[in-house]
Amino acid sequence: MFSLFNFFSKKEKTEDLENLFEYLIVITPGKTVAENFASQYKKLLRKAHRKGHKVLFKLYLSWEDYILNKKAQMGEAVDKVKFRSEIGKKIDVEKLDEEFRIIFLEERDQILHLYENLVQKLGQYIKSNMGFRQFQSIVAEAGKNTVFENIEVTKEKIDFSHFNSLIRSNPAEYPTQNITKIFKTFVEAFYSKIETALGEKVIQTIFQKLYDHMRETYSAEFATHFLKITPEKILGLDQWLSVLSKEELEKQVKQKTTELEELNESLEERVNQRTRELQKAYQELKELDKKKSDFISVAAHQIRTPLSGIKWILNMLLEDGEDNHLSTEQKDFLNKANEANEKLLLIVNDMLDTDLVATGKAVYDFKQTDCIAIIQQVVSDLTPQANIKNIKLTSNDKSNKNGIIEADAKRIKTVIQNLMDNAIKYSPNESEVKIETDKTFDNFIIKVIDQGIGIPEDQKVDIFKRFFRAQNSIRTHANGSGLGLFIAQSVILEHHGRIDFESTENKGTTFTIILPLKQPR
Amino acid sequence: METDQIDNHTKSNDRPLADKVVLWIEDDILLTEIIRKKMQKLNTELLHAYDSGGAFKLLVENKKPDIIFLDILLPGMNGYEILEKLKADENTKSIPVIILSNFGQKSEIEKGLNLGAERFLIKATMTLDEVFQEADAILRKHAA
Repeated sequence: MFSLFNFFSKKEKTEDLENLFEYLIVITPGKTVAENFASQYKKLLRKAHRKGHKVLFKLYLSWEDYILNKKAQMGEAVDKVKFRSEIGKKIDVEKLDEEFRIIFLEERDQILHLYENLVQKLGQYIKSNMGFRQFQSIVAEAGKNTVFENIEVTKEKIDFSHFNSLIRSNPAEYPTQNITKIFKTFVEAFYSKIETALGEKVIQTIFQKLYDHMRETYSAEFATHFLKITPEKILGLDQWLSVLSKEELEKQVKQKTTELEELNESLEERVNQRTRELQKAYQELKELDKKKSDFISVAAHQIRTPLSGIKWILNMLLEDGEDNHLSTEQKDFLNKANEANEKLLLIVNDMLDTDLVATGKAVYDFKQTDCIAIIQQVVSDLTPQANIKNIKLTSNDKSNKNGIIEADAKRIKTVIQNLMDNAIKYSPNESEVKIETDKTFDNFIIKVIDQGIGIPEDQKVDIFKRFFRAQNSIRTHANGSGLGLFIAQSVILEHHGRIDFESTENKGTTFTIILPLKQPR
Repeated sequence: METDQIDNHTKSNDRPLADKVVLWIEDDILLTEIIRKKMQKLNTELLHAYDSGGAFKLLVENKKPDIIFLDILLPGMNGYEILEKLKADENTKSIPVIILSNFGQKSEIEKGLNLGAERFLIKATMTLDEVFQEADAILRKHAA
């Protein structure tokens, strides 16, 4: 099998370079890499040159290839690891003479060898399609009156030795850049003659084989690389390739085009179908969402109407308590009934509000709102609840009673109520719940601090989720909708504010709300 | 459809809507009864209708109300349709209308306000006193 490795092996042998370890071999997939290498090791190469060493320079594709090739020649005796370690060895410039000899193979030698082997391989394929004599005469005719005139065709090979020595010994007459041209002229003449003898189809098969062989020998990567950069260097192989594969290529292109067209059509159809499905699903979801909204709206309306009636009646009775001659006990009952009714209304409103908040349908009424007044109101409302557990409710204002912000008063009240209610609910008896307020240039800050059961570490991420209730809160208090913090966060976000918390289990929780003084326009 | 004349002895300038004429369109019997009772105490003339037919008849037969309270869910023509008709009529378009309903979604509120209502109040979230105070504030604003 032809390869550059064979070539180097031959050189090694002919020049008595038995032990490769003594030489610096450049392994490179191409000229650029080799040149980079050369520039890096310029000093080394110059030194070697001064000492009169020949320099073997490039062209192994990779160590892997080199070693495989050596193995093919020398059997398993070649130790891959040893090769690697030898090459990895640091070059000591001072000891260059003892340790290394750098062998340089000129570019023209490589090109010559490459072309020779291509012709050799080509000849081998053609010979199997015609008689030896005919082949001999075709080669002779193709080389007539050219530098190829003296090449000999034996049964084994086309002998280029005479040709090679002629070229090598006359660099002035045959400069490197002309070698390609020389070979090209020869192979073109050769091509036209064998085409006449064998016909186009056979020739195409032969060149297909040659191309495949090159790909196998040099690796596809190398062949492509080489062909791409200088296709004309390989004897106009590009032309041959275009001839040999024109039909095949056309066929392949046609097939691929049909496949692509089919794929495109089916893709388009699939995309259209998916779009239709998605549109339908979206429509259904929209309808469902509207139905849900309508249901909630009507349900809320239906529940609220009798509750409004009760609310209004109880309010009137309580207002006119004196005129109605109610006893203290009766008034107390009415108050309790009113409180219960308010709670029921709050639950209904909360559930409706949750849906509105979640769907972004809630209406916010932003006005100048006094947060401190709201807090005082909430503290006052919740004091009876705190008293039951002997919890001390305290408030500490650092804003100089300047709590006016642009907000929806009712919703902010709900948020503070929710936080304070939780704080009281989940704090032990005899503890303290503090509400602190402060103001910065842009924001009003509210902190609700308790000494309660805290939020378990693994559940902190979930506490603002709808219907979420921490495990320890369920143990302490079975009641609770799991909506309070969800609503709180939604409301604060709608105010372009932030809500956050710090909590240690069994020590307490601090919720911090930061609200902008003004809503962005 | 009925008209209530309030006794003069309850007249008080401190009370919201005193001496005013109010048209209230509400189909709930219980709520209507409470409203009527409340109005009696405020010396406010109440024109009440259960539906659009009654309401428009009252508007033709009686003096022009100072303010109109309008429910949404009504038999026959709904509150929005009534509002539209009121605002299209030269005789009634300047009368402030407060929608008082137990609906309260964003779209519902927006619809009401876009049709020309002064306010959209939710019954269940307010006491009647608060409702009257809102109405009084609107009337004062209109008078100014």
